Amino acid sequence: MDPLQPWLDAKEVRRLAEGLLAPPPEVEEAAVDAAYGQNFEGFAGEDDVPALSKAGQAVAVDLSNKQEVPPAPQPPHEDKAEDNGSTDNALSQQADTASVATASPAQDAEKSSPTAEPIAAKVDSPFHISTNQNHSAADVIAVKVNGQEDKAAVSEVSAASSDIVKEPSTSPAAGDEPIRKLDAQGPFLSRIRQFSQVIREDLGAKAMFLIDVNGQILLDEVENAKLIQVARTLANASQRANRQSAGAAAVGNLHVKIGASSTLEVIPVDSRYGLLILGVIFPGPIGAVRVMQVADELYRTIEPRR
Amino acid sequence: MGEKMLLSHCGFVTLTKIFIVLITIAITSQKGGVGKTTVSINLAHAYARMGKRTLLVDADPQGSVGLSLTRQSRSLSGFYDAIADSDFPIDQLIIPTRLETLSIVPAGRCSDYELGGGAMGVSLHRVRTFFKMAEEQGYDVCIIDTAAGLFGATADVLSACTAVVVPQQAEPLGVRSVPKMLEALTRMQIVNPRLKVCGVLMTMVQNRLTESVEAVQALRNLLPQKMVLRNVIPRDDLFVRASAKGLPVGVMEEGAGVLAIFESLRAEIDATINQ
Repeated sequence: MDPLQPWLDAKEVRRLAEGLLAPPPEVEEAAVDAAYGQNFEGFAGEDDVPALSKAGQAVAVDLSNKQEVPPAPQPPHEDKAEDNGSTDNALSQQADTASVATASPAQDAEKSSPTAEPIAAKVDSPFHISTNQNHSAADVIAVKVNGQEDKAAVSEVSAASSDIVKEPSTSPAAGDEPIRKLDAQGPFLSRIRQFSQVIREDLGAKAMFLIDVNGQILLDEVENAKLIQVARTLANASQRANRQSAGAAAVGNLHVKIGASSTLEVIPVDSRYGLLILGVIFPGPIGAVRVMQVADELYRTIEPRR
Repeated sequence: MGEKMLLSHCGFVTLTKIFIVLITIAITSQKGGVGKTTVSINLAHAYARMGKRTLLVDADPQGSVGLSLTRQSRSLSGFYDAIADSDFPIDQLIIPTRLETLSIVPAGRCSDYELGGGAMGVSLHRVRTFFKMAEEQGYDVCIIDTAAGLFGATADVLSACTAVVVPQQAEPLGVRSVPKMLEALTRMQIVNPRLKVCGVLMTMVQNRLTESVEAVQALRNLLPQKMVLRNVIPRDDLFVRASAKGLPVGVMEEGAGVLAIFESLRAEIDATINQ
């Protein structure tokens, strides 16, 4: 009897092993050091995380908009979605949690000052945040994901974005070719996994996670609580900044350099389940157009087929 | 292996300095008791024997390397003291051996647990500083014996290392833990994309035990060829006797066979790193 085969998924193990043997992506030395320099000591310790978390939540609150925020249904969580095979069932099971979640921003708002500036404006962040992706590209995504197909506006803003973009993309598929259209079917989690596979194969993504606005994990291939915390904080801050500037709910996208050739792209997407935050680790920044495509594809994947 | 030249540009090119780029090899596994310390000691000995200035670092808070090779290891400062205090001069941590090219840094008196161990990234900068100091001391190779599990200080070591070797006991239970180890190494490579995975090293292989031989074969069938090192470490009473005397097996009178295995393993690892 084979002492191994019945105990493990041979295909998965082989895929992991082949990934480990792959040559490292070529990264210019200057790019490696640009974000942190030699004296970067790593991210804040565990003790600092609660403070960051509180700050992030406070930033997400917008007093002027709090009455307008609809009670967002909770997205299905991993185990429940699998069990029921239906996002609607999972949603109904989360109804209690959703009501608590929608109450919490208002409670937080009472504690925070209405004139408080976004945390990013107050704190010197070690993160490198692309300015071009903070507003204009985010607005494009908002147009797309809200189903208002305004191609003229999209192309106009895309062109503007590409003028601003200075950083060379180091991702393997950084061209203008659209990524594969995914006709994902089945339970929510299964569709998200298919989406993950597509962005790995088409865009060279290393790993991804998907969380909801409350930080609940829907899919996590990264298993790094700090990165998830960072993604959530940035997404919330970005959302607030966009609300202030545009006067309407909008999503934004951001990227953070997390290693010599690893960049975390944070892509918030407005969905029927509320704001979902996608974190994807790429070898380098993927640029606004690609971010828009990923957001669009994620939105299509999340929405159940009729 | 990895010599780098610094050149000046004053009208003509002049050779001003030659220094050696330190190769750092972590010996790591998810599971305990697979022979990490034995592999570390004997691999370091193999590197030192071929003339490479080798530093064997005990990054296992249990201090197994120190307990294997020195009687006073409990009272000596070591790796974790340097991690706790980055100003700790590395030359005060290094213990020379009778083999001129081999030196040891014991685990030290300050254990991982006192450093708030468990959280990855806490000591990464200091691990890098430690390696930099070792490079400045002129070492060619640094072999790091880590604690079991890929978290805490071990994760920081892997985040700063050139290469990793994963010893794995040749028995079914041990081999079944390989997927977990691969997942953990995949996460490590996200943090350190230059981390070269030299492969899984089968240890404690018992050729007379069918299950042991089958476990090795099954792993070779499962993983890509390059992922399982060609050389295997046999289970041998000699390792116990060498440990009792506080010596690498290679210096024992009857140790020629094991010495040859580690020489061959050293060459295989070198070839993988230089690919």
